[in-house]
Amino acid sequence: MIALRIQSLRKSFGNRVVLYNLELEINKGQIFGLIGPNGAGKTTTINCIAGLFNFDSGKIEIFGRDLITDRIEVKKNLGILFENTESLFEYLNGEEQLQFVGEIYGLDKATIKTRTYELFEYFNLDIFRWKSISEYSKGMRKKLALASILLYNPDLIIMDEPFDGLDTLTVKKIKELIKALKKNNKTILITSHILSYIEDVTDEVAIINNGKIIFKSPTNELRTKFRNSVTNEYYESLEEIFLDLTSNGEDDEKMIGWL
Amino acid sequence: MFKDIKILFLLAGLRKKEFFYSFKKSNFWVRLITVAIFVYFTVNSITAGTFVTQFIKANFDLASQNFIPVLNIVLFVLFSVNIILIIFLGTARYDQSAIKILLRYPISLKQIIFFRTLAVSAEVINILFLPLYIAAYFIAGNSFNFTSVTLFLFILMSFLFCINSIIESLRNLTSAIISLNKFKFFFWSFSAFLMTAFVLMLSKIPAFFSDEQSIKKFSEILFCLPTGIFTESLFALKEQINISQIFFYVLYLILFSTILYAINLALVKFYKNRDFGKKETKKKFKIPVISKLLGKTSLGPFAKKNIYYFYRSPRRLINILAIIGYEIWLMFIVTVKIQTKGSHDSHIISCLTILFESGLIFANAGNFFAFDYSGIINYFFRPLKTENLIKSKILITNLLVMFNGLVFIYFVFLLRINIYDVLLQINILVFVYFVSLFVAVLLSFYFPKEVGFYAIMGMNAPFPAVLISILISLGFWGADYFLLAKINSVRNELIITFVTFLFNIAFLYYRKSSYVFFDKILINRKENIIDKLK
Repeated sequence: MIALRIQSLRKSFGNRVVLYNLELEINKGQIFGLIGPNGAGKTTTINCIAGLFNFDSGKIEIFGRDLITDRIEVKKNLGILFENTESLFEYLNGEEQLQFVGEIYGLDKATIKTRTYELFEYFNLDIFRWKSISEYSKGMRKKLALASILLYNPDLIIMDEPFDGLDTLTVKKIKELIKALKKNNKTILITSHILSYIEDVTDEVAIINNGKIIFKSPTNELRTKFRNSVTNEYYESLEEIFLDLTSNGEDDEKMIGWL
Repeated sequence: MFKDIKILFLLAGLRKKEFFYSFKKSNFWVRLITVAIFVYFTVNSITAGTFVTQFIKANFDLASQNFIPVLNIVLFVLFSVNIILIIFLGTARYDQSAIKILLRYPISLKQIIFFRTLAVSAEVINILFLPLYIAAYFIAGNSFNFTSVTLFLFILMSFLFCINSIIESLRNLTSAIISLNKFKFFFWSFSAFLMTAFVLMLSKIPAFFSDEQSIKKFSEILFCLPTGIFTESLFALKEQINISQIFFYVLYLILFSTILYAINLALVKFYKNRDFGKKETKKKFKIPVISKLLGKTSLGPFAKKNIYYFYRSPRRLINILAIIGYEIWLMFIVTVKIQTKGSHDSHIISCLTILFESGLIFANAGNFFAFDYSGIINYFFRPLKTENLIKSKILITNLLVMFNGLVFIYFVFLLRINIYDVLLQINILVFVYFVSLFVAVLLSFYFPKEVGFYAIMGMNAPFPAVLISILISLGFWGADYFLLAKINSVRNELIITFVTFLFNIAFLYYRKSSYVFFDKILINRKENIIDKLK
């Protein structure tokens, strides 16, 4: 079953086209990595899926339901971790935030209470549960935003830069969490600039550049299937492929003269 | 000192850049309105100077006529500098978060105090201009002509600036008090006590004021207050100007300025004693009372969130308390002053409930995303129907409308308003509710709060939204007065009641369709709304 299908997605801001007929399919239970340089269109794609942006043309389907015509039902099964954790209401405390999310997704009070307790404990946030989110650190916010998603247990989770600003221990925890979610047949779309993490956790990876998917492959075939166009040798890492495909002939040696 | 001035210029420069950047980013209409405001300020500076000169010329025997053009120029420069100070300095409020941000830069608290003192002086200069305008207004005569209308507008503008300065300072002070947990409970208990006491006292007031001695004593107390001095001196000025009245003005200004300055000094002292760099210790936080209370209710999640936000936002709470305060004040004045139960008085008072209703709907629902900031995206990526979003957003507005309805009922019994007027007024109240709410929701969608030069102007909502709200509220007020006071035949009154009733039925019938309409607009406007708040 296809969890997420994006067909001919086009999005522009005024005269500037950001996504050019983007095509993407992610199967249920898959961990999919979407990487690209700054301004390539990753976050715009996520904002289109989240329903924050209206797109010019194309179609987005989540578990076979159309995002536009069936938006309420589609969103019930979708969890999104935004890059800057904008989904948190700054002037609620952690407990209120989770209660708020749980009630939106129709969980009963007892379930919210039990899951909230477990999530706060899992993310080591239990002593901050009654503290205003505006006083949380970046890492704490990310953990709370993630807890907000896990609370209602959606089948499709989208994570925009989940490792950004987190300490090594928390990164390890999130990597383990992603693997555990995969075992439970959850579908996850991850974007990150830390390519080694992407290689670690994903089943398939795609590179987006200038609003188009320019490369797509199962993660385990990255080092055995693709060769460098100049040296004709197999790539040694995802980073190598990424640099080769997105550098656009930029001169690495070029340096600012006065430095 | 020289370094302070350098910092001052740097900060003013920052605000200038922010102002012009916002202006550049705005659309055509916003730019047009801004240009209009600037033209108004410029013309105002010239004409204000002229009027004030005329006032001085008419009242003081100036030996040399050459003095007049010089005075004109001096006043023009003074006024222009004042307006610039108000725009670039005066509204640069320094609450806790602003001071926190400023302290990250190489600016000392001392320099901030210096900067703030200059800002206060701009506000004081503005207060200085107000009585001069009023004086000129009376010199020009209070007949309805171009001169008096223009002067009246100057008075209004200057008065609004003064009120804004004081309210902003009080808000900052209250925010500071509320930010200290130990005072929070005391503050709200005291507010609730005052409100309750006032309402309970209302029933006793007629008996108190039936005694002439009591009225006399009460007037003497009122006269001692700054506003009393101002009012008395204003009336005296109408007759003839003399030294004692000028003394009253000066006294009034000193009192006003001292209060303003004292508030600012208290604020600076308050922030000076707070350690902004202190790290929070890891302690277990107590469950807030509001969370306990709301957690037990069956309110929807967005409604709960809005109540939490409402409770935690001193600015919004003070706005609401101010509205309730005005209404209670109106009840008080009516109870005390209206001795005869004449129909004209009852019409005027009934109309005020329309003005209040429309005003509070626009004040609370006219920019209802304003306090969501980046959390605004929750309304778009969560499974939420627009109908539920709007209902949760207007919950508090509805409570206030109900309070306004109770005030009207109080007037009905107090003034023994006749049944035809009551029927008509109830229908108009419902009609105004529907129309104002409809427009207010649209304003929230089309004019969400922008952080830019609107914020510099000290406004919560963009200027076009404020203008539309004021015009509609005044329009309803005028129309209501016309319908109540000018339609004397019972037959005609009943016909209007019936027509308004039909409109209300139509509004109720199309209620569901209006949510579909709002849903379409919200989908089209969402990027813009998110962009403005995120």
